[in-house]
Amino acid sequence: MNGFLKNKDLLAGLMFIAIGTIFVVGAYNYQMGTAARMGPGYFPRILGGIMTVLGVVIAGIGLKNQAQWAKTAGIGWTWKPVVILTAAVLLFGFTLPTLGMIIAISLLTFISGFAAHDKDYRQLVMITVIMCLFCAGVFIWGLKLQMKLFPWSG
Amino acid sequence: MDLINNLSLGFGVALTATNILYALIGCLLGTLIGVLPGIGPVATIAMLLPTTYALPPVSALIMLAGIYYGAQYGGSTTAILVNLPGESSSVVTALDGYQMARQGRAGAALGIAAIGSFIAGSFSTLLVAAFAPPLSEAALKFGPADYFSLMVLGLLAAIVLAHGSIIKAIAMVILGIVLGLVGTDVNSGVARYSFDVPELTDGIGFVGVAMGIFGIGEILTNLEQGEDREVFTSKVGKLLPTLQDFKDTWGAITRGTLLGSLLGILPGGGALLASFASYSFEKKLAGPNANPPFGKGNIRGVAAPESANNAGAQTSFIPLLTLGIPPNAVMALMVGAMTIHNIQPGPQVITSNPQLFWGLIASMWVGNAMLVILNLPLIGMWVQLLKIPYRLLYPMILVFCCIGVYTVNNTTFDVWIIAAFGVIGYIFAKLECEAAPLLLGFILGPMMEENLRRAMLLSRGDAMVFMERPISATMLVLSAILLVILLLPAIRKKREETFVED
Repeated sequence: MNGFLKNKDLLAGLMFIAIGTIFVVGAYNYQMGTAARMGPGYFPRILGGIMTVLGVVIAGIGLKNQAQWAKTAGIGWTWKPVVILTAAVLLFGFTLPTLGMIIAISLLTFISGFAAHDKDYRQLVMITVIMCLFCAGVFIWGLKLQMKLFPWSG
Repeated sequence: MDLINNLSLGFGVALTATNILYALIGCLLGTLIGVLPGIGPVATIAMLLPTTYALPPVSALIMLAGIYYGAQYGGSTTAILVNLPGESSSVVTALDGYQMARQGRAGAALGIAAIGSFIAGSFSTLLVAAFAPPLSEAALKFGPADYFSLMVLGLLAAIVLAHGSIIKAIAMVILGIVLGLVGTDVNSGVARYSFDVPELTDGIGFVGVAMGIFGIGEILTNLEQGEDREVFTSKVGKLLPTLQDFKDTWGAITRGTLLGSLLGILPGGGALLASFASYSFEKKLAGPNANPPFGKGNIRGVAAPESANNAGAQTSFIPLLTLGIPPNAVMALMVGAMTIHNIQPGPQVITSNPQLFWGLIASMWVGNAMLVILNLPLIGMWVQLLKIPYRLLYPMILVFCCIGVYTVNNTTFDVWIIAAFGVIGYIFAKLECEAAPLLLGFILGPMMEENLRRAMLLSRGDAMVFMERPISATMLVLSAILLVILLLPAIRKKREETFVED
């Protein structure tokens, strides 16, 4: 089983099959129409179909070469940076409209910095401060974007 | 002479103080991100799109264009001094440029790269100016069927450029198209694939997709690889190439310029294809007896691709400005920039916005002149920038991405979009599915559907319309040839070899 998880073609093929199927099935909710008067379901259904077929071919090629894939080192997912960065971005989205730009940017910069394998806390604090000052200067005072700076500003 | 009148109108626009300033900002930013590996023009232009709201449209486009060709200049600096391509289009420059640097001739390599780029830039500016008007006139005769077939050709050509598996690239293009269809259908008013999320009825934001995949997704991929850089700061040497260098390279510069200009115009072309093609052409032309051999510090191996990528970067504006069809991901973002300012890209731009059109073209020459003057003295500064460690760089990129995408619509929904597409982009990279074709499909998808529907409506459902119209038939025949060539085993092997260095 583990050998199949190393197979990039197989996994990519399965991904295209899944997405293609979603679009084909979803298209049944919309009118198909005729070739002369295409409804909203026409184009996505065709494309979803093609994508599914391509997915089958890609997965098939992957299965054919399974023996070679099994010998590779594996895909080597590193989920730690993915989780840290995604969490940092989501937190930014929650805090920006409510707590203002300074807090949102500080959290984003500082938390995302933890994803590096050679992190340096002193530099990280420094860059956080610099980013806050820079963004406030450029985006709020320079470009006058409509964003609040602090939790208490209107 | 129309050309001269038009160009003087253009220079009148480009040489106002404001527009010179924005061209300068664009060129400097472009060089900056060109020098820094790990951030490219796609992510930068996507980040800056929202900030151009406040600018007049001409200034906005001048600045964004400056980023694209500025990045071609900057990319060569990193390639030569660090043996790392700052931009993907500088991959081949590193082959001979870095060897020259090791031989103490970094200055000459940097100098000839800048001079070659300038010559190429000037020539292709003229080319755009000369060819765009007749082409846009021809484009006015294009019917929906012709547009559809042209886009098919463009998307197939984008696949030529994709690395690795062709069939995966085709699947990615289609994935891009269907993602582009999410949202309200213009013809029927039905909200497609919005899953009752009100924000999705407006479609998935292009900026969010681009920044998620090319900004955050790339950071995630970069974070996996450690960095080892050896910077040749100690001895850059004399920047001005010798007379002998000029004698050696003028042919290479000319050939690079011509080839690059041609490949830039092709749908799916641009700087990347241009530099790869002209390097292998130059290498083949020089033969095995070249002295020094290619790959061992031959100055022609720097001059040709550097001229070609700059020429290609600029001529790729031709399909955008004349047909409204973006030939690559950067041009797709330019479409975004134009729509932000309510300009519909297409053949009508030249007549409805002559000042914008000619101003943009003239600014390319102004920008190239600035780059050559600025870059050579500033190389020391760019080299210092290379010493910023990636652990500090990526949080900065992340902040700009997040702020940028938020300001497009002032909604947090777009922040969720980049978070999602960051993860998706990482998965694509891990499964070796290249994302550039997806982005192009995403942009062209709605246009393709619209033109397909119109063409079929006009022909009353007869698909033969695509073969009966000469323009459309030509495009489809070309597409078929391209597809066959792509699938031929011999070519396939060759293509994989070309991209193996990346």
